[in-house]
Amino acid sequence: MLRNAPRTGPAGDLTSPAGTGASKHVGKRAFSTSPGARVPFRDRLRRDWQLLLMTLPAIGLLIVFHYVPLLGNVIAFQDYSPYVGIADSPWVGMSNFQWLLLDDGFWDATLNTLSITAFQLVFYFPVPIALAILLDSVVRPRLRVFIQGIVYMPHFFSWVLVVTLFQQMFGGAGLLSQILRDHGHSGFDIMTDPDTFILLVTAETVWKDAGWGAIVFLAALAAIDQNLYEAAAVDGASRWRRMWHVTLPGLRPVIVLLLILRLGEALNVGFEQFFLQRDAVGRDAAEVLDTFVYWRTLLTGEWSYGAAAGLVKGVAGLILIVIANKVAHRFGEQGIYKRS
Amino acid sequence: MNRPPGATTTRRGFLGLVGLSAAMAAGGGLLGACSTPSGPRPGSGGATAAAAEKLTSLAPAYTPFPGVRPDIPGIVSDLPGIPGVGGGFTTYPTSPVPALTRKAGRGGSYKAMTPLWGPVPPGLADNSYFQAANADIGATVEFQITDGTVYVDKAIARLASGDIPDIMVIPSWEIEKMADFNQAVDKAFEDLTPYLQGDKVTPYPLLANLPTAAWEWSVWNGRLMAVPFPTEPFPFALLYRKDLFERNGWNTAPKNADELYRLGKEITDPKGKRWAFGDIHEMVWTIFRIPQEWRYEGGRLVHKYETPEYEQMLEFMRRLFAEELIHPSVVSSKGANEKDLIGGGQITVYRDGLGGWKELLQQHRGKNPDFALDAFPVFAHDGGKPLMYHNNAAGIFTFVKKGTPKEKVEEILSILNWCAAPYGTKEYELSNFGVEGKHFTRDDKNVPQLNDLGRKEVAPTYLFLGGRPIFVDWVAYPDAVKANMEWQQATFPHVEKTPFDGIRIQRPSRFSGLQVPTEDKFTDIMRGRRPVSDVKQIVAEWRRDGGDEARDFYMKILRDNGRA
Repeated sequence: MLRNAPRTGPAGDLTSPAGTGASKHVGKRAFSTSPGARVPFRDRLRRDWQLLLMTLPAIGLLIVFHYVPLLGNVIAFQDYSPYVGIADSPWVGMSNFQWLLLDDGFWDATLNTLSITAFQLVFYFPVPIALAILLDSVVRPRLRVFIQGIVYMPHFFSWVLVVTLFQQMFGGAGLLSQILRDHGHSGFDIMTDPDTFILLVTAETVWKDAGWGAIVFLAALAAIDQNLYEAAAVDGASRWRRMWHVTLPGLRPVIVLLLILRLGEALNVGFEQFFLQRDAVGRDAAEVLDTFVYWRTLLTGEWSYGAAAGLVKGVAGLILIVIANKVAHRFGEQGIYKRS
Repeated sequence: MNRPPGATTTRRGFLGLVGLSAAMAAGGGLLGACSTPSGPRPGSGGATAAAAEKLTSLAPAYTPFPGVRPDIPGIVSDLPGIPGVGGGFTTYPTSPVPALTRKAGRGGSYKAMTPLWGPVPPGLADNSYFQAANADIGATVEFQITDGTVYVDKAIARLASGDIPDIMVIPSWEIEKMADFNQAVDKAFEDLTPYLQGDKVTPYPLLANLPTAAWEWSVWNGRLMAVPFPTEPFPFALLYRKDLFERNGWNTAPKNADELYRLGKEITDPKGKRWAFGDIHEMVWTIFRIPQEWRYEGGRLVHKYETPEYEQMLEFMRRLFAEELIHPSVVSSKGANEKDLIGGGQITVYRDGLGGWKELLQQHRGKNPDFALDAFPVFAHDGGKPLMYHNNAAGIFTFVKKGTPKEKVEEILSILNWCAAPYGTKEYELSNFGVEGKHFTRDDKNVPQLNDLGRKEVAPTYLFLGGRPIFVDWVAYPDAVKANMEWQQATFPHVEKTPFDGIRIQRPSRFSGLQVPTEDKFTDIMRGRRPVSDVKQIVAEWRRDGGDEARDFYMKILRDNGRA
């Protein structure tokens, strides 16, 4: 649900960075965001009804596919059997959660997940930003579109394909090893080394998703007022100065927005990538929460236990989002939402 | 830890609170605020056992069908619960005869849910193959085909919602994932005991032709609930590239673990992009004579993890990994396609089911006429008496919807009787290849070959309804049929007799769930990520987390059956 936020959320954020002083989009909606001046509900309805009507299909989808299924989470408090049904499955209170917190495997997986998230926050998160700035500086439009096409493409590959490609390049029987062997060196195999696994998965993620992630930043870059650059240049600012004082502040709202969303997903690092490589490096390195849930609950039909694990994950994510949003407000940013 | 006596084989008794104190001790500091969970430990459901004699009395009386005889005879199993070796056919019969003299159906119309691992054919209205088969049956079977890889999700959803098709096929490996299937089976499906038990099977002669052991696996809660799909006895073998072995003069019959290792050393040549082994791990278990699950000795059950042989096996595998005799892609990826690797000669030995043998021939013989496979004769690590595992006697089950009126159940069983027609009959040919001239033509060896329409419309559908005796019928590859049959006949005497043969046990899901975390740790040892000396600790953890409780559960089964 939260994942959809960048798409269904305030789209204006992406093009008109609030809080940066760019105020060209202040139109007739301005008075709704200025605090203090409250407009009666009926007037707002009369003014906005077309907009509300347009959101109805999206709200319908949300209700049917997100909010209604959400109710199914009650099975986390039951000893649920699908053949008996929710109505007749016995209630067990917090028991599933207690078992979960006593489960060593759960804590190991949580720790792995958090370390991978933290690592990727430092070594993956900035990559799309850098890539976007780099792409933005390519002047010839044809070349730019060409490069963009190439860096987007891996996003559409499945993880099986990505892992296989890495395997074919860097595995023990891969291209690199084979070239080394042909020249009298011994081969190497980074695909099975648990110590460098975190680097490997981050490298895979960068290759697969950095280009895709850059799209949002490119859109934000396009919205930066070109006059600012000219003014800065006239004032004698160098390339670096302009980036520091114009580009990055222009991107800041988007960066903060995505950072908050990423924090909310801190316990989500994906399933397939780790599932596929788990045997190669062992459980200690590759067990994350999603694979834990799969092995320990889905595979053995323990739906209630799985629902409990999922709920814990969701609540933790929500708390992180709320905190991060608060912090963003502290720093004068819009964040992902704001009470008006 | 007080448990009511005899509670271990009930649904909620298993593993009630085992490991709690240990886990509390481990996590106690961190989770001091946590009280003892009041509910059952997740994963305690599903455990049952049914006695051997009871099972036999429920099964239909076995009457062999007098059809075509295999060129190479099989072996009739006299081991309880263990399937025998089906015969082998090296030629296709010139004129298949009808197995049934009357129409199977009475004009009824039924929906059947089946899995399919492959492209879905056109539906009944646009599929002349379905129409032809239904016309021969004399009833309308409409298939609801579901992708086999996600079958369990669909099956659970339908069972849970109560939206059950008239005929429903569920593979045994999916049933193992359904924790409360014992409950589901009674709610969803019709009890077939009154229709099939003992001599009642007489109206369905082709169902009476299915082996008794397979029927015994179709029993849930003391009732015959399904028509079984019989299996072959051996789960896997060590297959090798016979053509490459002969060309290079490699040892095609290693006699002990050391010879296998030396073979690996000789074959592996990373510079030439050739590694000796693919995934051979599970076959190495048998080489080290590790019990399939439990060994009963001195009045005590010993689990395979606890045997000294298991540790020896780990050391052996560790050496293969350390010296890089296993293909790196197999080592590093779940998705490694071993069939491609062995086809391309990048690996020369790997473990696969005997069915994989045929698939490989189909894939590679066309491009490479020399391509040949064989299986290593079974051997033991010390050169002593070999040991081999066996499959359960049924792999897939066909159920009938609960509440179906008597005459409809009889018609459905009659349709399943049609589907059970064995190799060499007209019905078998129709359900496997469609109509001659329309969906297939015969090649110079008389073997039916699908044409374009056949490839589009014919799919394994009737094949999954019920089952039929298994034969090695790869008539296109008579050399492989001979080699396969020789291997099966030589191996059958070495099938391990386990303490539980013939008893229908449904493993408690928690015990199944224990397998992956435990074997992960053993994998760490094999891959050299943990020292071999950790085995004792891993076994201790396994015992603590449910292994000992499982032992009690299994001991009780032995006692209940008078075997301990």
